[in-house]
Amino acid sequence: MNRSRGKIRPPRRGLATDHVDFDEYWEVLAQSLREIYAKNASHLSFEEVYRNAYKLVLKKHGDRLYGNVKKLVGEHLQMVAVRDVKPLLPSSIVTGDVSFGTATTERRTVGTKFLERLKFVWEDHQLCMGMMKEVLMYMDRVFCADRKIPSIYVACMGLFRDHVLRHPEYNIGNALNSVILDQIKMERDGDIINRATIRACVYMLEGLYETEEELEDQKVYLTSFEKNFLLASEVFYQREGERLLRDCDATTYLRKVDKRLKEEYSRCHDTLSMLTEAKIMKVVDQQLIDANINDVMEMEGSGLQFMLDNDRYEDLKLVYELISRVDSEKRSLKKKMCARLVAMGKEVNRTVSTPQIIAVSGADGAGESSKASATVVSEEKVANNITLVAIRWVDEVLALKDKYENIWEQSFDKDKGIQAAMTRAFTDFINDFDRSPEFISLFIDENLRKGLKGKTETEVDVVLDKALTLFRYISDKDVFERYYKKHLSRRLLMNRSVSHDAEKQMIGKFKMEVGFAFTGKFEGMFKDMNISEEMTSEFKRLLQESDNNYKKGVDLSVQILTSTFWPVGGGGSSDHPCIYPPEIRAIRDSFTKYYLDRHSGRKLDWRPDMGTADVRATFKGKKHELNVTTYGMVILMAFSDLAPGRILSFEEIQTITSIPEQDLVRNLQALAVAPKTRVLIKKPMSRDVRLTDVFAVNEEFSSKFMRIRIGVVATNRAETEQERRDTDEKTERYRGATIEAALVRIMKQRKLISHTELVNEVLAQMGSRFNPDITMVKKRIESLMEREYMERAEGERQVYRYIVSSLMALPFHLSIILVPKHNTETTATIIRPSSVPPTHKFRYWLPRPSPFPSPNTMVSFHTLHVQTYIPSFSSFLIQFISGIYMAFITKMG
Amino acid sequence: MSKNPATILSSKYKIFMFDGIVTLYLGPDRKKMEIHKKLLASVSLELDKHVNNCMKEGIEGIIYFPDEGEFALSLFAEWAYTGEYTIMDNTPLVRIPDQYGNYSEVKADPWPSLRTHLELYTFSDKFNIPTLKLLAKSKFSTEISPVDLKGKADADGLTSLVEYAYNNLPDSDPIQKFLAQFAAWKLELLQERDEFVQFISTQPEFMKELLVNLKGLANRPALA
Repeated sequence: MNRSRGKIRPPRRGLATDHVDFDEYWEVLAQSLREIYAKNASHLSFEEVYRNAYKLVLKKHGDRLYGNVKKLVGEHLQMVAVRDVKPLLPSSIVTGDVSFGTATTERRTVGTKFLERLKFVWEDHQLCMGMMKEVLMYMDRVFCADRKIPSIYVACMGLFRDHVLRHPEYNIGNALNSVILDQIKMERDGDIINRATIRACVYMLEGLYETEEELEDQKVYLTSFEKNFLLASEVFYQREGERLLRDCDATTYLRKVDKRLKEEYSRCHDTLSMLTEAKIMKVVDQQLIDANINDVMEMEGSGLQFMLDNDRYEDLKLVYELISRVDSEKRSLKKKMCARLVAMGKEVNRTVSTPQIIAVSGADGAGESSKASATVVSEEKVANNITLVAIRWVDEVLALKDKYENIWEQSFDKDKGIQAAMTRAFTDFINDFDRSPEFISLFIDENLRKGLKGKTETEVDVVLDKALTLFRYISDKDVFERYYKKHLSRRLLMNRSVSHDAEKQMIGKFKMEVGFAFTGKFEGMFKDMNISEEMTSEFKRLLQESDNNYKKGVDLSVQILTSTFWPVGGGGSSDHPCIYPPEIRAIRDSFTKYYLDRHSGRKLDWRPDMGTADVRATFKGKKHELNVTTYGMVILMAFSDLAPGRILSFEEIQTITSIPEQDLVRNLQALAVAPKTRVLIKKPMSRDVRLTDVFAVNEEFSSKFMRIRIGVVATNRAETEQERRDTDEKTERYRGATIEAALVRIMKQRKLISHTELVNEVLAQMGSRFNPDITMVKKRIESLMEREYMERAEGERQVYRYIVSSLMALPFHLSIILVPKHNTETTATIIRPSSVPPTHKFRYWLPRPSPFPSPNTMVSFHTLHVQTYIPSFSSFLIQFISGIYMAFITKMG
Repeated sequence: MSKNPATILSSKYKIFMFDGIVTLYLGPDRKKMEIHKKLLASVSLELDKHVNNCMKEGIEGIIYFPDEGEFALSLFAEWAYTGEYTIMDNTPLVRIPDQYGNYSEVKADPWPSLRTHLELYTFSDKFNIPTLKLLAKSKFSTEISPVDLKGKADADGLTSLVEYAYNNLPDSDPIQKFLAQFAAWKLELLQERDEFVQFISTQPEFMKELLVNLKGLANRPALA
């Protein structure tokens, strides 16, 4: 091994030249930095300063360089604080007197000078640091990055914070805060301030951080200034809110708040920082809106009620916008607006209720002094008056609706929440008025009979849509359905509808709104009308073919109504007794035969109370065609064979025709009392028909018209008290059945369910049709338990169990074959589906009298042979099938 | 030929060809060189500040670079204008067999060329030119990879290269570490050279890296 190898020799000359003397280099560098501060940089060589810093960093003197630069900058800033800033500190602040006891102008001048000096010092610091940063770029890029320490620029910004703003002796930072706050207060009070200078100082605060990590939430602006600003603002706006409430009306208050919000927005953008925008807005929101808006809305004579009543769209828009700022739900606005809406709605209800009460009490008074027949007519009149009231009610509700809709559109930005609240309010007061379903239906009726005449398709659509809007609010849709059905039937049967297209359009709208279940019967009515038309013409054709004297006979036009679709009531001919004249009876029988031949098993119930007849009569040698009710026709026919001058008493007419007393009174009223259609004369002559009156043909009757309509069947009108009671009763019955069906459906699905859940589900299911009465639901549950559809679950309180029947397992289709052996005896065979074991049983019931074992009996679901002895096999067949079917669908849900 | 008025033609040179030049004085001899001002400024923020400032250079349009060599600056200018630089080298090529029996041609004396790449690399580090730094590193890596140290000349060449890197690059630079590993790999050859031993005594960072790889690397190191 070479001996010389182990020796350490001094470094070669070339290496020695790479040695860098820190002090020598730093002195040059420090002098350059001082020249930068002194604004004498123009004679400096950037390359030389950069190279010196580069060399120091490269030769591992980075930490000393970094430290020395900081020291140099720190010393400079300390000097600047004392020499440049301190002399301009507002004296009141130096002495700790933050109240600024001097005049505004002086305060503004002193403050602005101080701010301008601080702005100058800060901008100078930034400028010099910018240049120093450039010559020290290599240090930042290599040394600071390697050591993970802040760049020299960041470090020296921190020095400004510590040596100037937080100078240990002169509280420059606090003074800055106080001056800015004072100037903002001046501006809020209406003075003009130098926004740009404040902005520059705020820039400074925004550019400084509490730590060298420069975290965004650690800006000196946020930590030192902003909280003071927000506190001062809170106090200011709290006082302002109190003052405005005391001095201004609602509109002025709202406008002032709006102005303040705009001012604060502008202040954040032009004077302070956008960082504060949300926070100061929140202060204004809380102090001026949240705290006082309820009081403002309730201001007498200018508050929300005044604005709503007087359509102050702009003010309402402001209320909406301001409330939206503090409550996205706008609860208080909704509450107060809805309260006013409901009050106005109830006022509408009240105004239409009052005349009705007066009218009805008047009618009652009349009833005491006169006979029953007179009461009937008086009630009729009252009902007709109420029809007008109903139309007025709907018009007023629609006007209210339009008014609030306009407000909603123009002021409330079509807010969905407010719309929902308005809907609730309308629903509340409309449903609070128990005649609303009837009135709305009457309104539609009025329009479909007269109102839509001459209107374009679009106009028709608008009217129908308005009706639909009100329909939506009705919670008892079943009641509405009942009335609508009644009114529609009158329109169809009396051919009073302006347009079938409009009718269908309306039904289409209902269908879209609540579904087919609601409109099925209405559509069925139209179908019946079409079928009737076809059947009538076919009947006429057949009659013409078979009878040569056809033209001399009675021209019959029949409308066959399926009893479930039409509100015609059930029952047989005994409900509408009438002894027809022989000519009429003949044609009636002929049609009955024709119909039953084509539809065996059906039953026809003739309704003389609903039809009309055209009767030809000659008065004083002039022929007239009288359009009367069927009853009217029967009455007139009773006089046709009498010798001139013969009279018939009320009782005689009743005996001849068998027409029920009330109907007879109505018809005689039309024939013998109404001035223009008095084809009969009554003795004694009076306005009311009495049971003791006598009648004769009015030989003196004359009319300039050839065709005279003697109407008794009133057009659709509001119901009389009695009719309303009947309707209510029917509604109750229908609701009971509907609730039961829903209960069974739910039980079938859930098997085991608590009472509360069951009731809630029923309420939910029924909600679209009506609001069921809880007591009624409870009664229906009891009833179903009695009939063993459900039972209380053992050991559990308030829980029901569905009683499962074997039919549960059945497929939905059920094959029933009924084999008639002869007319009086038949065997019905129910075929058991193969999936059902022979031992399975099902429950059925049938209308009595039934040929089967008593209803509600478990019967083996095997093959059921039945012999029946009831006379009408067809009728039985229908009853039987519907009985089985009902049992089946009830079980299957 | 008529031109479509919507068509805008441009040239990447136009941006600096019409914006004047700056004069550079290089090395202790103050060799004068001129370069387009805008081009120089566009290379990096550091060079931009050398040209555009409110100090002497900005006012006079002259920069004195006493530490930069004219050859390195020429190559820099070539790169600045063209995006590439090429070292014209007259050293002869020799055929060297590899482990598979294939022959490759390498420069008989690769060290001057490697040193120039390293100088450009250092220049890029000083003035923060990442693209050129990467290019120089890549060329350095490509050229050093086939080099095999055989004798005194190679040992001195490597020693000189290591010495330059450790004197002109920051400690964090990967080339320093690479060269230390390279030296460790060929330590047997280097440790006999006085210049190498003497250099070690002045560079604790290098010494540390060498000690880490004291046993010598089993494989040839690669520059990442």
